[in-house]
Amino acid sequence: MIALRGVSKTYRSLLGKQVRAVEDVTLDVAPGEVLGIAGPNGAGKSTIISLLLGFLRPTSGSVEIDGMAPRAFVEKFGVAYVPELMALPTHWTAEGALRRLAVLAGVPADKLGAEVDRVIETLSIGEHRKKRLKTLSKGNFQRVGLAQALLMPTRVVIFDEPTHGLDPVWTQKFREIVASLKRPDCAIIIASHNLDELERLTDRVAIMDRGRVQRVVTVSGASVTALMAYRIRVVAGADALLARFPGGVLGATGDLDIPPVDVPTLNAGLASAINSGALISAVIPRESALEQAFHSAVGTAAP
Amino acid sequence: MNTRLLRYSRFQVPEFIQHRLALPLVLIAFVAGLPTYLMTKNVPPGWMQSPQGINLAKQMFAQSITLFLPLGAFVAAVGVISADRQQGYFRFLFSKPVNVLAYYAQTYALHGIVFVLTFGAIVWAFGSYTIHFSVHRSMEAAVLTFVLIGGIGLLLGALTRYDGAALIAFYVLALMLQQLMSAPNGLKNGGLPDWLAAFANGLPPVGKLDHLRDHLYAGTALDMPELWHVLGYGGGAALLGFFLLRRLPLAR
Repeated sequence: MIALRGVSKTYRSLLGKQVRAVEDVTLDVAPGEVLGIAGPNGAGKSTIISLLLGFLRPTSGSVEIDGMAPRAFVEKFGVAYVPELMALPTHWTAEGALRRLAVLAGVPADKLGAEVDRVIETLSIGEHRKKRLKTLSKGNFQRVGLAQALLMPTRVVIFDEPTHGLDPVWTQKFREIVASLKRPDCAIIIASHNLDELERLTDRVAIMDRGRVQRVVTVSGASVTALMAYRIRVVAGADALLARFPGGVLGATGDLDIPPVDVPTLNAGLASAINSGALISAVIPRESALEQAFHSAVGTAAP
Repeated sequence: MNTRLLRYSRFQVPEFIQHRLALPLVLIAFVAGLPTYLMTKNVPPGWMQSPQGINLAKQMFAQSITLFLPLGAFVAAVGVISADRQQGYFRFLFSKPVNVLAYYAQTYALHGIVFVLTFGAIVWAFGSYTIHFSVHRSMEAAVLTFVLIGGIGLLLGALTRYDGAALIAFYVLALMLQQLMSAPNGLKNGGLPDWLAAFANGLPPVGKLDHLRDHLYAGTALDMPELWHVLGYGGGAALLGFFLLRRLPLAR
């Protein structure tokens, strides 16, 4: 449905200075798929999104949505889009903004009020509906941004740092919203710094760095054979665990960090230690498979 | 023009009046409305129809009421495209199924219509307190002003975020040079060197616009080449603006 083929984007200043924001990116997003785009600041995530919306044109390569140029697709069908930076005239009220954008989105006149009420209800911004946007907190403004994206069903959904400014409750609620948007004919793209969020929401994650897609990771839960490092919260019997996990490091707080192991080895070691009297209150992956892939791709060490 | 955009006009018109036109209206109310009201309240009945009254009314019309034309056209024409781009509003507006050119064509058309109607209302109100001024001809003057200033504003808005400053600079420079060129001093091009005269002739024909407006207020025949120059310049600038809107990326 969405196809980027060898896409590069170079910005040129008036003085001729060139900055290559995106280089030779090839990506496909199938209908029904949720693709995450991860990467550090300046990796090219937002440029990719601007190219997908037709706000920018590639310097080379091609971008197509359903075989159409992005701008033509957007002007014909619209895209549910939440930008990273919420920018709407701040003298508009929350409800006024939603009404205006609902008209542009093509909500029929006889359903406009009901649809605006529905998204206000979904995002729980009823108490703010008459307030001007300039008086809203960052989180509430972000919820207005999310609400406008839900006004009409679209075949392409693009979220750029969608949980930026949202509190944990609304971050969780956002996950439910994304789940509700999943349809066989709808491609969803989420650009985020938050790897945990991407791991929960997406099917695949394209990891970008310095303008290139460094790796595309399929997110399908932890593999049984994948090696992962864990932190074991030990209540008693740390020695028994250290004996089963050579190379483990016992921290000052009593947590034991063990080196990467696969799931059978982890379970066997834990069972043996517990049989020997160890008491364990938690086992926490120190890095998910996505985090490992991310750090390996962008060359940063795990915290 | 699709129905979505037509429905959207019910938000655009009040927005334009409240957030753009209000300031020039308040200004005109203070510099023209208030003095006119106070003056007509204190003069004897029928005085406004005397030669002195007619002369005073015409003076006030020329010096204060007509201020609204460049001022109103300016606020109607600048910061439309550039503000959407600079503030990032375009990301919301144009992720919806909206044609960018149609959106801005409608915005400029609505601004122009409201501006012309408002000037007609101002002239009618002023005339009802003083002497008769042709509302129809005044509105024609407003149309010409908006075509020229609106067209250039659209072009500059498509090009740069500094469209307001650029429009003022072009307008003032053009007015200054074209006045110098037409100065009755017996010198070729009013004494300007040929290259500067050529440059001045390429600037917006604000001198010709003033001339056409004077004819309209006076009820005399318009100079057709001047009329076509003004309409062609403004219309051409608008078309170039639309072309650039289509060619240049929205996110810059």
